[in-house]
Amino acid sequence: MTEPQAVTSKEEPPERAPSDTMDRIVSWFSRHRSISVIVAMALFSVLLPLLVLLPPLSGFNRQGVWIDNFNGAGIFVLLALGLNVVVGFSGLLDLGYAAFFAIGAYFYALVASSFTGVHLPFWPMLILGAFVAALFGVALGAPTLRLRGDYLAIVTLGFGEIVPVFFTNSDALTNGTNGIAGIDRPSLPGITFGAANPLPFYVTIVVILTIVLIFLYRLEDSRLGRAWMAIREDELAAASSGVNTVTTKLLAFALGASTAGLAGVFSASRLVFVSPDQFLFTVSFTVLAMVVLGGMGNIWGVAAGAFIIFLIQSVFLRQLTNFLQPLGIPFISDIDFLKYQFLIYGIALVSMMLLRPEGLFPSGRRKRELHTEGEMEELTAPGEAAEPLA
Amino acid sequence: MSDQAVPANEEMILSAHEITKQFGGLSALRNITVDIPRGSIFSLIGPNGAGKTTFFNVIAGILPPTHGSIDLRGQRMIAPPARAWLEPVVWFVPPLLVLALGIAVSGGNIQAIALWSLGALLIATVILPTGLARPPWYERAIAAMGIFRTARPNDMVRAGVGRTFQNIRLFQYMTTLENVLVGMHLQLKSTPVDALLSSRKQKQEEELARKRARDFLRLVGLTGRDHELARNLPYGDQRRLELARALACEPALLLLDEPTAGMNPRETADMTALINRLRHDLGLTVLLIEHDMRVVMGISDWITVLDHGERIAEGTPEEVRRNPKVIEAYLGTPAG
Repeated sequence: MTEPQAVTSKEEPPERAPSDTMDRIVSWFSRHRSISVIVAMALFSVLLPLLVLLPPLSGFNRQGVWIDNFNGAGIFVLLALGLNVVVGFSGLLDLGYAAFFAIGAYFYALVASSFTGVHLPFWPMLILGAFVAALFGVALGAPTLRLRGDYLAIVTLGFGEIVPVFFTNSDALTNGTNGIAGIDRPSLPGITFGAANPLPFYVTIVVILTIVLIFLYRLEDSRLGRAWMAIREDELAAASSGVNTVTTKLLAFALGASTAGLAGVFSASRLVFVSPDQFLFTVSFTVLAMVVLGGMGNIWGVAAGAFIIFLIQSVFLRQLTNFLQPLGIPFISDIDFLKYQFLIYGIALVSMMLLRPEGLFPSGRRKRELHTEGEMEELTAPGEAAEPLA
Repeated sequence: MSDQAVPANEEMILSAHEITKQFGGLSALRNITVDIPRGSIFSLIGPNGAGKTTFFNVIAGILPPTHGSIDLRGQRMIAPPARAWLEPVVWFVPPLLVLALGIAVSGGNIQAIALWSLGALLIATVILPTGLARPPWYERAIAAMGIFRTARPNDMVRAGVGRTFQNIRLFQYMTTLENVLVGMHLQLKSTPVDALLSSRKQKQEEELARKRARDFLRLVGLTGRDHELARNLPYGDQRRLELARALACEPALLLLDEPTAGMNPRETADMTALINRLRHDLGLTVLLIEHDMRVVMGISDWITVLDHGERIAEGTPEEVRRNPKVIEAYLGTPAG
């Protein structure tokens, strides 16, 4: 048995690898993460509307429709990012996440529509909507503090059912099943937000997403982010290290809910209409599936997963149906793939859990969690894996 | 240390008074009174199932005792609650007052009442989570009303108790450095808002925290492995890391639950030397549960022996070694 010092010095490479320009750029961006997020989001959001002008994508939809689809995708990316705080970072399984989405949307519908006759401006209401949803997040979190795993999932599932039922049944307040129509669009001097002009919405959601991404990266690396992870790993050990588990969990619920609140306000102003059936369990389930398939705990992975899955379900399944129908192949041409959306989800989730449980774009940590010791050696760097001491 | 009994006038860091813990009909601890003087290494020994770990969990705020109280540096931390009924009153009176006021002034106007009840709801959603989270200022406020609530594990950490676990409980999928950083949770003062804004305060604190975390790792002999996952460390290093995490809480009293379990003789000797150094260099008080008698006899100032939840002996290592009751408890027969 050698001295600990001797062991460690062997592992540290004494000489720095010669850094070429590429390396330097990569390391600069990894040190300035907020700038990296801004640059990446700017590049991506400019390229995306141009990309759909090229075949075959240009054959599916007009550019305007594509951008409108991207706006829808942006809402789900936002939802997935928020749920990732609760499920991915803190390990609290939330099956009723659509409730906070609904609360954000109905909040905006009530303060800015012809239904109530109140017309408050969009931009401050976006922030206030997030705040209101956060309050409800705390209200849901408080009674579930002692619950974990399955029990927590069931309580949140109940909450997710109560909220749409409440909106359905309180006719006077929410116009019941008919929903609230005539919601105000956002307004900025010189810019028209409208159904015919989805570009301002696109810019708005890109800006919201960029800010949320920066905030999430900063939180993940902070004292709070570490406390979330510690609670996910071992709640008792976290408490015995001085972490106030109550505050930490409530903050996770509040931040997750506030992100959903943002998405709700944005969604209500984009569709100018809310109704209870926009916020059923399928939404909670879809967002959870996005988080799991994208790679729980990994911010980029979850965002990319949500984006891809939304586009598959809202664009490509329809295109596949349209493409196969005229070909007249027996049986296959008769399938409406949109109807089988959840079957496809189910198959995707099951095969994912069997083949790649960490998701499409896993965080390094999750990958290590879900693979067994034997597999680990392939995954870790050779220097790490070769550990003779035990 | 001198071989006379612990002097009564010496300042006690922890006083456990008549602690009893019952699990259903089983008494895991019966009337245990222990006073731990500042700066000592105080050991708790006894056969398996004697109640040592239960006692640790009571001190750490994990298990509330059935009877008895614990004072830390003269401050009552753990005891049966007092005037507990008053706390829900504190929670519910303000929103109900607002609601009553609203109904009184709005004179039957439904919309006005709805607005007032919304205000009441808002107040409730602020007070209730605060009451559950119990931040220090809230604790002081309810203490002023004569309400006493027994301390939680994180309150004990704040008051200066750090601990390790008998079966190692690291954050397995966090790195070595992150584990220690979680231990420093209460030393770090930046808020989530600081983190969101990435303020100068936050950045400086994080940088300092990392530096300090590396110091703790160096102290226990774990240098250069900052980014290794805790679970990938060899067993002895995991124990060391757990100790580093406990030290990162900057405790005045360190509870070590079998710190040398599963270690080879060389590692055991290192750990013993380290514990001694913690007392001498950092001025820590150590409460130790240990099965390895060489360790216990070698470093303890004072030993308390538990068996079946009762204290059967106490004294200096020399006294305990010769105590026939202790020998009987360990060997099952009177010493011949």
